[in-house]
Amino acid sequence: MQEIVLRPNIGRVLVSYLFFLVIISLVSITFLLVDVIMYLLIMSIFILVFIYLIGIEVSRRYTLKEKCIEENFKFISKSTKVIPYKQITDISSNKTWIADSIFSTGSIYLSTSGSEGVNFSLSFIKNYQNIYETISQKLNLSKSIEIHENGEIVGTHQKLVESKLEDRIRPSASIATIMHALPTAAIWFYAVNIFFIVPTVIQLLFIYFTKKKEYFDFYTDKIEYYEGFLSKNKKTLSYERITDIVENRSLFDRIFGVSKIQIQTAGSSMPAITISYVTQGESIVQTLKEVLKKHGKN
Amino acid sequence: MEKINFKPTTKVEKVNIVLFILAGLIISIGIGIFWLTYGILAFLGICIFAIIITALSIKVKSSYDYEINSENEIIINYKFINKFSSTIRIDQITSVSMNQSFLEKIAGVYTIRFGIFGKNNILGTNGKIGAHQQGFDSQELLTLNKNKADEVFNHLLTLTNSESKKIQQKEKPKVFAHNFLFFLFTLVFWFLVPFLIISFIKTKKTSYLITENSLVYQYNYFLGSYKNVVPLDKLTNSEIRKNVITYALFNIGHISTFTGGSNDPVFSSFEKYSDFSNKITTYMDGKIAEKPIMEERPGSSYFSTFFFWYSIFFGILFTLYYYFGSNSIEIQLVKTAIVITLSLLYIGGLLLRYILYKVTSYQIYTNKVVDISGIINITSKEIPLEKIKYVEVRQNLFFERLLKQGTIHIYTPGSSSVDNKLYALEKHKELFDSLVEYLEE
Repeated sequence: MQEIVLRPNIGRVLVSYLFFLVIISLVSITFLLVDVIMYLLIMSIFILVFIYLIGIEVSRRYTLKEKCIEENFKFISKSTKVIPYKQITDISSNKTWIADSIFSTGSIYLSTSGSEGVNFSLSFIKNYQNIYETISQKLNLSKSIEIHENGEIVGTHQKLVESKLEDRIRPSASIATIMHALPTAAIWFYAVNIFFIVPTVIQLLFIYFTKKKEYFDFYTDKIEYYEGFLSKNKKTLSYERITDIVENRSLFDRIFGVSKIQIQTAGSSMPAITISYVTQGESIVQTLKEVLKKHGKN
Repeated sequence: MEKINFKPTTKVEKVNIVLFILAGLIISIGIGIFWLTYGILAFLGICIFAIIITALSIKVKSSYDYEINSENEIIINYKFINKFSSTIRIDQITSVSMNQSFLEKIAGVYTIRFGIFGKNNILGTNGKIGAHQQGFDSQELLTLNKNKADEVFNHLLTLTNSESKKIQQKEKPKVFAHNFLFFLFTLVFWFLVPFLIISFIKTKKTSYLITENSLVYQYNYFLGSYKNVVPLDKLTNSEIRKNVITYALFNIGHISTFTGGSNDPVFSSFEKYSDFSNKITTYMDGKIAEKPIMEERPGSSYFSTFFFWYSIFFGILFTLYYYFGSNSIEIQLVKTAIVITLSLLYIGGLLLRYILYKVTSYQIYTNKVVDISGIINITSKEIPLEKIKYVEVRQNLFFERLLKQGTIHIYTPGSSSVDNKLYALEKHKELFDSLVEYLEE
């Protein structure tokens, strides 16, 4: 495989630091009211920190190699970080609504087993969807599947086929909205306030459209999860990484006939993927168990 | 493998209600001596409260069903108001323990716990089954009668390949040596004497075993019992720490072993330093320990970087103290005292760092990295190469880049933060390349 070298989009990086700049300005003004020398001192520290952070981002490079991904930067300090594909458990991506759309960028996050959260991120890169696919392929191809027959391993083959299992799984957006609206309605009952209505309606509409855009695709070797009404998120989870499956139905879930399925990996104590507000919970769990058995997991 | 079904016992709840009512009776008698009516009412109130709470907790507990099936899965089903079902793969279990608290001893029951790879907790205290999905404490959920607990425990041991078949090494802690620091402490804080006595008895009843394929830690004394079994193949890294006082007097050290997913040691004990701990590290290596292929010490930037930032920090503190405050004699006296304290802290900090710089060393073997550091507690931390997830090399400008040294960060399962740092190495490039090569293979 030819090495692919990527770098963060500087315009997008600057936008991500806008919040930092606003905070600097506000804090500086406060100090200006107290003492001019102090103001200059604080400002110069902030500017130096800002230059340092931007300098690191400008010099940052991600290199996709045959067996690993390398991240390095060289600005004042110097760092090289290497993560082998075989250590990656989850891969996910994120594209924010405005900033990433303007710059045509996105971010890819990689997690490894045995630790919480994201361990490695390829932030604000162009053409991130193709890179995502490239890394996904590397993850899928890096391991072979054991073929079982009557409970015995009779051989292995590389994962190349990615046929889909069933129809797309979608949560029920209307049930999700109603279930979120119930506590709000209870608050209204005790504290009727017209000022609550507008933000609550916006919030419920947001929940509805977010759930409407959420779906799960089950392939023979992986699950893909898509979400995002304004921002776009995608997550791919190989069956190889699943440690256990939990089906959870609260009282309200049972009233509305929906389920919540949490798919756990060794990467985190939080579920890697949560499939909530789905009506076909039991059949999803059953399908997952069967697929895991085929993969020699159980 | 045959399938096992079990439900948690509710004996502890029944003991709890008796103790609760007894305590309520004592309080009510106290009140009743002065106000008889209030005393009776208080007793009735406590009884009703205890009955409701106990009935509820018995109902919750008996709503759980456990099954260990023939496909190496633990299936947990729960149905009371909420409905919950979980399937856990047994190959993800990193340790199995069976313990009995004082209350459980009264009730005659045991609790089974197990740690799971990738989770920063051990099942039972705040663990996975029930706890992070349901908010219940699974320590109660897995409380079983003696016979059932034995059956489930042995079954789990068989499935996790950690049966205690053949003992390779057995060790009993040296009782006085183990409690020596506690003993010194109780000479000052006399009220700790009962705890010291209990600790002596507990240590006396404690033993550590290395079997063919597992580590076993167990004790059994009047306040309870505990047995923890950790399969050797689940261990990720170990740490041996020796306190200069206890090591010099009793030749004992402290060994901790870790499994993937937890920041806390799964096995931690005071041991005779040379023998037992070596046995564990030998097992972890999978072969007899050999001579290191590379031995490195931190470069001068380890001290100079610290010196630079430490001096800036104290410089700012000194400046601020001189910048603020009036010129009255009282204020000047206070400021002088602060300056003396700060100066002592500054010199002491630098001295400690310098000693640490001189005593730290790294040994690189073909299958592990050993980080030896510490002044009073000398720690020897072992990182098997096969457990490394990813590596990073960093060079800060002050002074690593100027002095051509680099710090290697080694990430292993069990933490999102940097687990291990090999500071300011001169041969950082060679070591980093070797580690990357190893990881790629």
